[in-house]
Amino acid sequence: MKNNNFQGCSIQSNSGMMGVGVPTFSFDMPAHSPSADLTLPAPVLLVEDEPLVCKRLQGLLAHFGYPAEAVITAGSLAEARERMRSDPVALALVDLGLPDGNGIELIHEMHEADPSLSILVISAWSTEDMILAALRAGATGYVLKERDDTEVALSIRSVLRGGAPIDPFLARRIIEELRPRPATGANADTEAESTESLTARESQILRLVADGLANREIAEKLFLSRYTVECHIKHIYRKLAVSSRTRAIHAARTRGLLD
Amino acid sequence: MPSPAWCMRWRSARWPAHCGALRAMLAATWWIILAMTPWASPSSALGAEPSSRIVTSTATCRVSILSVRSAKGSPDGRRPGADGWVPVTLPDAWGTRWPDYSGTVWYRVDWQRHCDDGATSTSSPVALGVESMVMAGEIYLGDDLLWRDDSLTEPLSRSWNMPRYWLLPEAMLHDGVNTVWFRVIGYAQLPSGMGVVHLGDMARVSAVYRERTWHNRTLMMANLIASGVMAGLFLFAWLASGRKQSAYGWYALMSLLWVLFVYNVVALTPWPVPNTLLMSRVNIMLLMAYAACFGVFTWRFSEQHRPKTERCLWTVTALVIAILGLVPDANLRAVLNFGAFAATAVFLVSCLQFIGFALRTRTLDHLLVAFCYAIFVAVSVHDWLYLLRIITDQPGLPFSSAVETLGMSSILGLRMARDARRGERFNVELAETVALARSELATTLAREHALSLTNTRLQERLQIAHELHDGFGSSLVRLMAMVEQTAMPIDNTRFLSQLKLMRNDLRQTIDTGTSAGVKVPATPTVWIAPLRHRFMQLFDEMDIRAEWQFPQTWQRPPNAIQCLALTRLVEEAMANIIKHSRARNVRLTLAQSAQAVLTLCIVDDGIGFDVAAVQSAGVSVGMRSMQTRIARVGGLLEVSSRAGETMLLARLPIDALESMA
Repeated sequence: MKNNNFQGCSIQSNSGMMGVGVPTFSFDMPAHSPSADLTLPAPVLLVEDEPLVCKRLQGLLAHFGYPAEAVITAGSLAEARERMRSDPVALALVDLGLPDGNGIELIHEMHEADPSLSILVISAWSTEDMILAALRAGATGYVLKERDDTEVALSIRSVLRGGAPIDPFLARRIIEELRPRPATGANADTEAESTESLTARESQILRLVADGLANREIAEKLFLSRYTVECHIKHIYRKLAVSSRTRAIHAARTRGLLD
Repeated sequence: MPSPAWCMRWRSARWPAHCGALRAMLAATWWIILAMTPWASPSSALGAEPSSRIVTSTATCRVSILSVRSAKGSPDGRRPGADGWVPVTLPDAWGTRWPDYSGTVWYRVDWQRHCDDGATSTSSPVALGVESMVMAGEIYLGDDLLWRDDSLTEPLSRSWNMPRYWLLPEAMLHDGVNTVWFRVIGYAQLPSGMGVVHLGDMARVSAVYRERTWHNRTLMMANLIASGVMAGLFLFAWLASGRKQSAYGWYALMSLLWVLFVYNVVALTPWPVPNTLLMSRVNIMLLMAYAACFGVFTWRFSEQHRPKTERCLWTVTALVIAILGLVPDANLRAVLNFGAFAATAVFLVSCLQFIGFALRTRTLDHLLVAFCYAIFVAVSVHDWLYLLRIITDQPGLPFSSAVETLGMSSILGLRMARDARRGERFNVELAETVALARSELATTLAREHALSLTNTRLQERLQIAHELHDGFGSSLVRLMAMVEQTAMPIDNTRFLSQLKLMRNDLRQTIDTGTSAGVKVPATPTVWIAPLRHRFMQLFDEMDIRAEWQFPQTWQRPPNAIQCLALTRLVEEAMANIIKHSRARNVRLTLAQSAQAVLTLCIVDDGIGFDVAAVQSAGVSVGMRSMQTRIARVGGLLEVSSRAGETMLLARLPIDALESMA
């Protein structure tokens, strides 16, 4: 079972899709959230080399209702690739610092194989640039390991609901990255531009995120459903991945490596 | 037998005309001495045969000179009677015969024409040529006036260097003896008298006339113009050099003085001075100034630094000029001679000194000039010998000036070429120097940049170490102390909260160490945005309503450390609210007063807690840590709590200097 692959965000759509209802999420410490109302994509691939952290995340996933057998763990890139070959996964949680390489490679491979796959980056003391690189590679969200369980659980839950966690700093970086560039004159670019650059609505949402407004506040302010806002953010993430891909192709063309 | 004195006068009057751009000073001196000083004309010349200087025709008609005689005249212009006539030889200067006589002197030439058979008077007319009359005069043929100067009283006309020529009208001639009368007006102080007279065949006389005119007038005028041009040229060369090439300036002045001096030769009236004797004084003054300029030019040109000698020379020059100006007319002749001698001496000494100097330096242009100067000296010696009749060939002065012109022009050419080369070389050297300086500067800047980079890194590292020591380190020590001092095993929750606190400290240290952490957010909104977003997501999930009131701009921005402290305060407070308060509403307010005190107020409507108890119990290490943190950046944290309202109030004065840091 795969996560939803949205082609567009309906402004009118005010209700959840595929069983995503309005949450009644009581937030105690730590997160012991009932997750009956959540659709759980399974199996989940958890790529993390630190056993304790791995166990912590397994615990959080268990709180959402995942049975132990639905969570596949891998301690390295090689192991993760092997696991994926035998079992197609519906959700992936990937640590960036792995013993045999950077998780961004894996994210890139997984995204290439299945662009609709939800990939969550689990990052330790990551810098903004690292997170942005992971998103470009195809990740749809990220959690910081250092944060308390409450916050980590919330990020995972947001992804399970089909949303995409975002941060003001990310919003600012994406605005810079995807703002409509002046036409460069090359024909090949014009098509890419339209799919790469942000729509007016998307820019609007990003600006509000950058000002620190939460998704609910944004939804209220723009008279949209919260779901629609999250859908927009997912689109923005995709554009980021596409943007980085088309840029690579463009670079390859100009260097004569393609065509 | 010819009179060498007059002959010399003519020739010496001729030679300066040969000078080109540069004249031989020597020649001028010779000329003035010979032209103006009666002593230079040996008395033996007076014994010459009268007819020898009269050109007679050898064609069909012959003119024979019967006698040449002279007598003093009266100022009224009447001819003297039969008495007082003495035979003379032309050219004649009466000063040797009648010393101290100024006024009118008459000359009469008696002559007769003999024609061959068949020759008519129209086929061979008689021509009269006069080379000079010192100063002014008039000419009669028999009783008829043939010619007269414009002015026979002061300001006297100047005919001393003006050749003239007439065809004698046949109607005015008699058969037999004819007489030509010359009335001359002159001064005892000057070599006054009558120049050579030519009488006879028209073709021969006019040829002599043309030759004299060419030498005495045309060439002198050309010389004057050429000197004027050179003066102007060198004046501009001097000005263009920024007045640094002082030799050019002196050369220009020297040429100008020469022009004024030569004016005497071509002028036909004493203008602009009122009379003849004053003109003679001014003329010798100019000569003296010219000689002084020649000396200074020579030294400056050869770059000999002689300020004392120059001062001395100018003193002498001023003295000579003063004497020339002040002496009474009675003693003028000796003074004129003295001035001319002084100028000659200055000129010759300058020449000889320079020759010696050039032989020491042995540079090309110096040797060239020395060669020219040597020629001047040699020529002057030669001409002295000629004058004293020890040798008998022609005077060499015209030759010397030609040599000098060639020499000086080649020197100037050499100098200009050398200057141009020096300029080119200078440009190349300048370009090289600039390139070198630039690369040196680049190296220095790179080194300085690297140094400052290293310094900055070191500073940052020190700061991180400091932060680790103060924050993370002290938390660790506190935790260790707590574990040691507690008898019972610490319960997990407390231990975990301690560890979380340490994690937060470490996060802050890392944030401080990264450039992003050091940057002060542009506005309060930008600053609070990440926190707001992060906790709003949590509040949404927990159904807590939160209000964020933040100003649009900083009144005065806090520094990076203060920002981080406030960030940690908000983080801690929010965590506490989420964990413990069970609040439903939260309000965060940031305000900045006019005194630039930043006030952050966080209020919630949770269950509250006993502030004193919590602080003393040491359970909430977070609370104490917050207070320490705010205190460290110069602020104060007040905490008050009761059921339904817990308030954290942080006051942080923002120093003007701090905000700059």
